[in-house]
Amino acid sequence: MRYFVFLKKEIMEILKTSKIYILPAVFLFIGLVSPLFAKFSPQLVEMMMKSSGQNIDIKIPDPTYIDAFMQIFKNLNPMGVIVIILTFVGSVVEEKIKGSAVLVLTKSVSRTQFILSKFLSSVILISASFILLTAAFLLYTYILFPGFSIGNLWVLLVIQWLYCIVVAAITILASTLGKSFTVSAVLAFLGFMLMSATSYIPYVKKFSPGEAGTLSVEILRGTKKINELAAPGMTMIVFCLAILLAAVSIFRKQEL
Amino acid sequence: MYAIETKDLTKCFNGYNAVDKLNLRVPEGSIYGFLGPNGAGKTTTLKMLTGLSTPTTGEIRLFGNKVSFGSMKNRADIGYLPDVPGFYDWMTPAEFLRFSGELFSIDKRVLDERIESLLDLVGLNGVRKKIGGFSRGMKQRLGIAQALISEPKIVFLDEPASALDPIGRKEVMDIIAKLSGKITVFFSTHILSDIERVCDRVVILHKGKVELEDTIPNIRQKYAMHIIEVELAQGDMVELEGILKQEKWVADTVSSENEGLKVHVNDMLRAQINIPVIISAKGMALKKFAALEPTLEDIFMKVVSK
Repeated sequence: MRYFVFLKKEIMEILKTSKIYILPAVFLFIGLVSPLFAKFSPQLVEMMMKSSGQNIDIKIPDPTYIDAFMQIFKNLNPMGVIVIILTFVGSVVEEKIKGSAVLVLTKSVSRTQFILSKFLSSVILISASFILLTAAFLLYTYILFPGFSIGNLWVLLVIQWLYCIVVAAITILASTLGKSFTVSAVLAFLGFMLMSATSYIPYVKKFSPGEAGTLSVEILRGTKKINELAAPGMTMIVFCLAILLAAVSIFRKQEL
Repeated sequence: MYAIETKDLTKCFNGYNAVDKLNLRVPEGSIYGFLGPNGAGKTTTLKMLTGLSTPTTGEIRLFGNKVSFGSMKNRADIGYLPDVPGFYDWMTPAEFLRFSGELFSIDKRVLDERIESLLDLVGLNGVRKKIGGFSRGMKQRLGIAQALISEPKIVFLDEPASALDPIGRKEVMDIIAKLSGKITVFFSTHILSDIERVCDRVVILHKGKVELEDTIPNIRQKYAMHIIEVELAQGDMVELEGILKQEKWVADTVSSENEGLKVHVNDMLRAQINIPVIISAKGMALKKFAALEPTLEDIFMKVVSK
């Protein structure tokens, strides 16, 4: 049970600080707003045109649940990503600066436990927030787009969840590397951009986590098959493990 | 067996030896003062002793067991309070102690009792407010309690009272004094009066090197000043000074209106016997007769200004 004491503390910390409000609130907002925005965007565009005095006749096709899905992908990246980075970027570096890491690490907590507990607690909060997002999104999509059926499209949401977990792993690594909150935040954003940039490299593109969003849109449009998400999905799992391994290995060598 | 034994312990930062071939032998059960000016290498040494930092060269043994960087061995035998302890501000002191105890898998019933007694020891029993609202002194006292949660054999305290006001300092030093004889306490400080109050032994560290290591009485003897201070209730001080200057065992005399006559002697015992006799023979009366002892501050200044 000793191994879970630090994880328990991490979860308690989430519950007793503002972290418990921010991430779930933003994810819930994304889940609610995405189908609404998809449904009412033609009316919004029309209203904007009228208010600006332009008499251009634009024909916008009737929105479908596909637009709702595309909207949620757009909102999660970057809004969701930014909130994940800002929520977890201080997790290791702040404990190092404040001195609480020293108090814990001179007790029976290994450095591996320390990093893994930080990561696991972030996975728990992201997952809980994602459940809120999914519930709100599906409910509003069912209401606003009659006839919508989830079918195997839940895979697209799982891939988005996995993407958020990879971002959390990058953030924990950046927090381990940095000597201040700002440096860690810069490193986390750089890491995220680097991961996204792999979708522009030929041959690598197919496996890039950054490609998952584009691929998901194509799956919704019916131009790609859902099993094509397996490559970026597997890459994300491997990526996540490699990042965690790097974070643990770096932290084990750091002098506090 | 020693509580701490280091052999040629060295820590080098960019070519500068912050700790230079440090050889320590700290007896079990002692309260050991680790004295040195700021930048002497005290915190660096403590971090190496607690396995938080890796030595460049040298060896550390705690109770005969080798200490290595990041090792999980013997964690329950060690308690550590850094110079600026960082707590989780959202916890209460009892919650933090429970969390610390659970990290050592201490049985719940045992832990309940231990938290109670430690909060009593550090004067925080009944304090329900969050650590975020604590004063510096309260945090230091809680820091000592958390260091003792596993009932360690040795506790390392890094400048535990240096940043506190006189009341806070007294409270912390009283707690340390209560640990005397129960466990080994190794604490660093640059406050000499703290060392004089509670320590059995002291080591003076300067520029990473040990300059002096002994018990406080031995150090005082070694650095004895051989000065006798005399004040007269009746008689002429100038006359007395003239008489004493003629004695072979007197090296020098310094007189002042406020502090009487300071007699620097070559032979302390002879001076202690003869001065009162001379005064009495001349019909003078003593008001004050004191063999001056060097303060630790005098010794410290002498050692570090070598």
